[in-house]
Amino acid sequence: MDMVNAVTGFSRNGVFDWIVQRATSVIMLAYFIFMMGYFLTHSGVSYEEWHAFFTQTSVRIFSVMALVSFFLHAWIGMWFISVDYITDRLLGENGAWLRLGENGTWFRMAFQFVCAVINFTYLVWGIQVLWGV
Amino acid sequence: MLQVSIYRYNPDTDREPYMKDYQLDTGGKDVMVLDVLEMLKEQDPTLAYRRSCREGVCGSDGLNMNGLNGLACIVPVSEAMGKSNTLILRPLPGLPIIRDLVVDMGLFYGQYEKIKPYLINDTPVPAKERLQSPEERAHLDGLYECILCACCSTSCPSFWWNPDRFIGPSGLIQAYRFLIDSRDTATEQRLLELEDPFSVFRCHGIQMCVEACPKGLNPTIAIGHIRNMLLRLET
Repeated sequence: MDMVNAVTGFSRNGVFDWIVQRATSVIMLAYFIFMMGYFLTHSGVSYEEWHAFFTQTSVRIFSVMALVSFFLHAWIGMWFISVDYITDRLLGENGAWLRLGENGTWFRMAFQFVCAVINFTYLVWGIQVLWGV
Repeated sequence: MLQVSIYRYNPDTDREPYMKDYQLDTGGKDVMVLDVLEMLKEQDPTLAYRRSCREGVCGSDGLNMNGLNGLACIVPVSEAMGKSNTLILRPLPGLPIIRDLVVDMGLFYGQYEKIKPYLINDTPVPAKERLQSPEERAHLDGLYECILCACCSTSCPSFWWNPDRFIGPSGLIQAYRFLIDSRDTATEQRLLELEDPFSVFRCHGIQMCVEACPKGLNPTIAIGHIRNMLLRLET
């Protein structure tokens, strides 16, 4: 039976992970409300208006902040999921679910790797889109 | 006739666990679930379960009754069954089965041991005893009453997934009991041992522990207090 550890977690400190997850959710909620506000007050946005809106420095800063928040929030959340469910305890030979042998650790690391790659791709792609307009 | 379905497993003779059905005449009385087990044991002496005080004090007979954890000795059959027509008894979930309704509590006690469930005080020992004011003593109410029956921790999904790393509601309510004890001087050291992402922070506040506790305690609130103490210490 493997010991699930925190070495691949965000900070190895539960307090810091917890604060980051709460703070990033507040930022994402604020960004969501901000964007909803924009859509509700600007019906039928033209490309020019949209372009002008997203080239403002303040909007870009807020957008990147929301994007980075998404990156951190998703990483901490997906890491939690991986250490809860993708373990030898649940997937191993005597596990409750898929009996995959004692490979829980490898599946968990593969899952974390895939999550990290997808997460990073979204972050870079998002920044590229923001600066591309 | 009362219909009873009980989880049976004897590792010496059974390849797999199975549910065994029984019928019992309780004489129309609404007895406690433990009484049902005692009567069934006369029918079938191979049935294994733990019990001791039969009045909700010792915490030996924690069971899963129709899906909810509780002490068999203080839960009436009518309450356990609800609207169901069968009384379904299973061992506490998430812990290894020794036999029938008897579970191995090693993981549970291991977490209790981790929180150092005793007073630590590095000041000189007074001649008589370490005194506490009535107000300081009142902080321990709602915490010290835990009888370690494991009904809360074994109803917690986070404890099912990480029983070796997550302290669990029972251990954490005990941890808070020592964190706020005015006679304990190891508060900071205790908190630092809980700061990792598993010990406390696997709690997502779903409150299954509160629902399960036969003593009416609230581990979720205690865990919230620990989290606040950690925030104050580390930010």
